Amino acid sequence: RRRARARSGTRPCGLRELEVRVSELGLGYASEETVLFRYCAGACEAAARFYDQGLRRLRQRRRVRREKVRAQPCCRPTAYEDEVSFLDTHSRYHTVHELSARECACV
Amino acid sequence: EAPLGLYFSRDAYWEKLYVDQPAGMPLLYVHALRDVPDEVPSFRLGQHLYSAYRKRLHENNWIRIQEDTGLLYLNWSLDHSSWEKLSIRNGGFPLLTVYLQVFLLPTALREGECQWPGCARVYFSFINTSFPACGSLKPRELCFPKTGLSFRIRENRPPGTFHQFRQLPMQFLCPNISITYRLLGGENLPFRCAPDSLEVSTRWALDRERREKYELVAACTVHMGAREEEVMVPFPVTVYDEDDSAPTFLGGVDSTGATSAVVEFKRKKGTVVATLHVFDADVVPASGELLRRYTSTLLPGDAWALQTFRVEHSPNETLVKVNGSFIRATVHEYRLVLNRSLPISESHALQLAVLVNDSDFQGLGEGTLLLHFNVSVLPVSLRLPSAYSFTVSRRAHHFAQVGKVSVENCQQFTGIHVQYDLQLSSANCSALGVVTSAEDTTGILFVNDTEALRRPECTQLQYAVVATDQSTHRQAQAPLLVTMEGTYMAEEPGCPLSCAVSKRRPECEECGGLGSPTGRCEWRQGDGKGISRNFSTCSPSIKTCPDSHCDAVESSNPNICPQDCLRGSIIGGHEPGERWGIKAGFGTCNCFPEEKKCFCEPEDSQDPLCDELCRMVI
Repeated sequence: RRRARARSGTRPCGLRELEVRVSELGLGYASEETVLFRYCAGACEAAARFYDQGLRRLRQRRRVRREKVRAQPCCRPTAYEDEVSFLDTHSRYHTVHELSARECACV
Repeated sequence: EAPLGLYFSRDAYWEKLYVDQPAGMPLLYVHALRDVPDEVPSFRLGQHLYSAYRKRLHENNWIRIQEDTGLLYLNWSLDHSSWEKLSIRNGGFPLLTVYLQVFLLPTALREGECQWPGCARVYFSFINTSFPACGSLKPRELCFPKTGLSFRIRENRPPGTFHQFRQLPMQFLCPNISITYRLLGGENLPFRCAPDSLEVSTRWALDRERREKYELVAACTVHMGAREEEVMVPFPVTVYDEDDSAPTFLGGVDSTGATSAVVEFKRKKGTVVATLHVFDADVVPASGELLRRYTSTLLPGDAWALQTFRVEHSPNETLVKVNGSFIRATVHEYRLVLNRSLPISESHALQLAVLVNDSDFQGLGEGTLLLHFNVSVLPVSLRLPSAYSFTVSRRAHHFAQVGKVSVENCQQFTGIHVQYDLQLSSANCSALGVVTSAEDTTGILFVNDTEALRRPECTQLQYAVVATDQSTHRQAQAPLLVTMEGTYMAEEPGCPLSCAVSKRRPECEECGGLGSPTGRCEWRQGDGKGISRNFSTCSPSIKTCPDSHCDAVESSNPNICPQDCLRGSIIGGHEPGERWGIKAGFGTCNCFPEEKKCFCEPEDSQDPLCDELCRMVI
């Protein structure tokens, strides 16, 4: 059994930024350009509800077994950047929709 | 434009002005060339000085012109306070350049409408110091103005003087420096520089159709005591065109001066039936005026011809080699175009005449040309092959493609609309349907009723294929025999409706899906090279899907081939299709047609990170 992970100092769920080359995203695009990649990260303990506790206990009692359930809120984007465009090494433009997060929340 | 009679040899002149230069100092000469002999130019200055941005600054009290010689000179010295005054009027922008307008009489003098050939601008660059000492001037400054020289001379016009080399302020303020000029570049050229006056003139009339540009070189030698220095600058002369050439034929014409054309399978409105090229050595009228002045008229024959055909004209500039150099000329393309779509029953033979008129032509003879088109419109008869025979597997799914039917030459059809239908001539085992593919006028046979396929009494189906022309309702028929083969096997439970849902080869090949002719989906293994047209995917039949083309059967249901037909979002590295679907994808592409989504991603054995973070470990 693992101790509760809530250490003081873990940042709460929020937007983080990373400057990445398009080729690093591993989407198959060969491009030298850099894009600003915003993603959601951080802890969500404070967002737990009765639902999460109840579901966790039911799962321990093997009442919920069949399906994949998530008994903990997860830090996910609730809104995305519309589009980012870049030029690839063959001088063709590509536009990628919803590549990067705009708002985050524990859901 | 109407012939003005006289024109400037340049549209802009340049000179420097310094502070406190003496009144009476000559500045420069402007030159006018004649259109007809015996004309005498008379020059007049515009009333105002303008800033470089066409802002009127002040009445011109400083500079005057000699009406007959075209000499501009300072009538009044320009001191600092005059310049300050001009600068303030310029709205705070630093004033470096002003200009004056010079008009040629007897043209209408309208300020603000300074356009070559009847008006030229004289720009003065202001230097905010007094004139430098003669010894400190560089040869380049002594010899030529700062801005390059270039000249315009009209063809077929009387020769005349168009330039004077001397920099008058230099000569006036530094009389002790001796400067001589020469014109280099061909002794037999029509230009001459008089040794005494240093005036450059043409010796005879020029002809643009022989030579359009003269790249001369002006050389200037400065003698400063014992030192001599030579400076050379380019001295380009451009010959301006006039409409002195009549249009002539250029290729595509047989001995009778006509071109022949056949209208048969391409009957759509807008089809180019025949093309003739007309050559004209001129480059005037210019493009803005050209279509108005260079007319083409389809001469009235019968009403049918005037209704059915129109003439399209597009002029193009070309280069012609004359005496080893290239001269611009015009090639006019005249296209005979169908003005309406022709029904397949129409049949005609006619000769059309088009009158081309170069209305600006000023030479001797006619500026017109008659183009002839011999056109044969042939009727098209619909013919199907004698018989069709196809086999279908009993395991085929709905929308599985069985084969194609088509009338002869249908690949070449445009503007002919043929519809295909099936008429069942045997028992009520109607298992097939047909859709007409508009792009190539073929009919695609597909499985329309899987239940009828499996009935034991339906082993051979007799159909008649009927091709109907939409406009004339003419028909062609052919018998069609469809043979069922194989035995029906029930589908695995839990298989998706669409083959495209499967992401891996095993699950792809153990299921069938909408559109699969064998009852099983087929796996296409891609090349795995980045975003490629050859991506891995699962489809009902590799022959038809994905082929970057959403055919008539595939478009009838989104589950058949979303790879070609999806109108939704594609997630992952991809290139969208021209209209819809996936043109190229990264790795394996699978789709969920109900959600209107496709995903392209190389196979990845790692679990996503979030699952790990969010997993409750017990």
